[in-house]
Amino acid sequence: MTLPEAPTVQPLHKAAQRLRWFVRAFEEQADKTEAETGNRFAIDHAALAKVFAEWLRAFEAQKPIHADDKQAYVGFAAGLMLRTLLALKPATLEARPENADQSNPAYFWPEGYLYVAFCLNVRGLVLENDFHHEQHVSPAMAEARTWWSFRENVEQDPSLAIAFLDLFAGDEPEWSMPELFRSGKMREIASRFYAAPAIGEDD
Amino acid sequence: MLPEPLRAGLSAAFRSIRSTGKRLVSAPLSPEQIALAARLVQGGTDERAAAETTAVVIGHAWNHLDHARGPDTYHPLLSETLLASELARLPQGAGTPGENAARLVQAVLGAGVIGTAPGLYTHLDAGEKADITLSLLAIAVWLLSDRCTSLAEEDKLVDLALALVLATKGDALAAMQDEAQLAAFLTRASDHL
Repeated sequence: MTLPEAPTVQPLHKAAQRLRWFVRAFEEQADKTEAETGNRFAIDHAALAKVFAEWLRAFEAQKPIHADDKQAYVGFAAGLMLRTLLALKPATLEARPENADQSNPAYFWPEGYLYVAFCLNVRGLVLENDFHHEQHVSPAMAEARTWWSFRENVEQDPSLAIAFLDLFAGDEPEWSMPELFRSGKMREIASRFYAAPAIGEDD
Repeated sequence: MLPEPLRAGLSAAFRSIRSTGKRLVSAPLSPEQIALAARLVQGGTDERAAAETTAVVIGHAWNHLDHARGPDTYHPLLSETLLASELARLPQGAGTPGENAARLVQAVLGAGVIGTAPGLYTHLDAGEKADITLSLLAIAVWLLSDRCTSLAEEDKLVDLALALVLATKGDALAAMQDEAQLAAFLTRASDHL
């Protein structure tokens, strides 16, 4: 995916907090998804601005203070974006190819697929550009069963979109209260790998 | 008093003529004009031509947003002459860009520069007042934000500024109660435009 470049003086995660960048990036994702799938979407720009404003409010409400949490917050913020897109529905499918295979996530739920692709791509780019971390999308992204569960679950609890995006991104999802950002998550994961043996452990 | 259907018809015809006239006479802006208007809105210029240029730039943005409203909504007028004279009175060189923009918005709204008949007292209902306020806030947010690289992008940015202000309508109208709150709202919105 090609997303709009951030101004050279600004890191990508900062540029992504501007409406002009967000709208261009979403339009580019819609063009790319249309070209890849043959689906056609109508985009409601007023709804897109509302998505941005609501996302920004949710993003700022839990913004971490510790620098160590910033990378984990990128994933959480992308999940918040997916939740808002699914709630406010700025894209509407206008046409899909004849005889499209409905077990393919792109045709099973075209709008959901577009939103997930957008959030995953922005998430991956920010992690790569600003944190030198590579995102490895999970095979679950292509599994019809996961998408049925995703669609059904987010209809009942929109915040589960945050956990499902982690799952698609190849991270460990927080299924319990996914709408709450957990400070220290990165330190907790790192400690599992780099924990010094406790005194007497080898005895 | 004319019967309502006839009044509505005449009013639509008048709007159409007025809008065609506007399109014919309104020359495109230059990046330098927009940059000068941005400096005045932010309180950072003492150039003599700044007030008139800013009135032209704000008038242009106003017409741009007005065309997007559709035929069945309220179409308030903006007097660039009255606006220029109001802008010339604004102090420059003190305060933050957001504080200066907030002062400008309140001065322009208070002077009756925009309305059914600018400069004359005419009753506006709450909805009409809110429409005027939100459009003017969008223009202030646009002029406070970073400049684009082309005029076509500047036009799109005005639309996005209005979309952002409308998406945060509750916060925007609540901020009108107090100049400090308004300055904070304008600064935040322009940072995120």
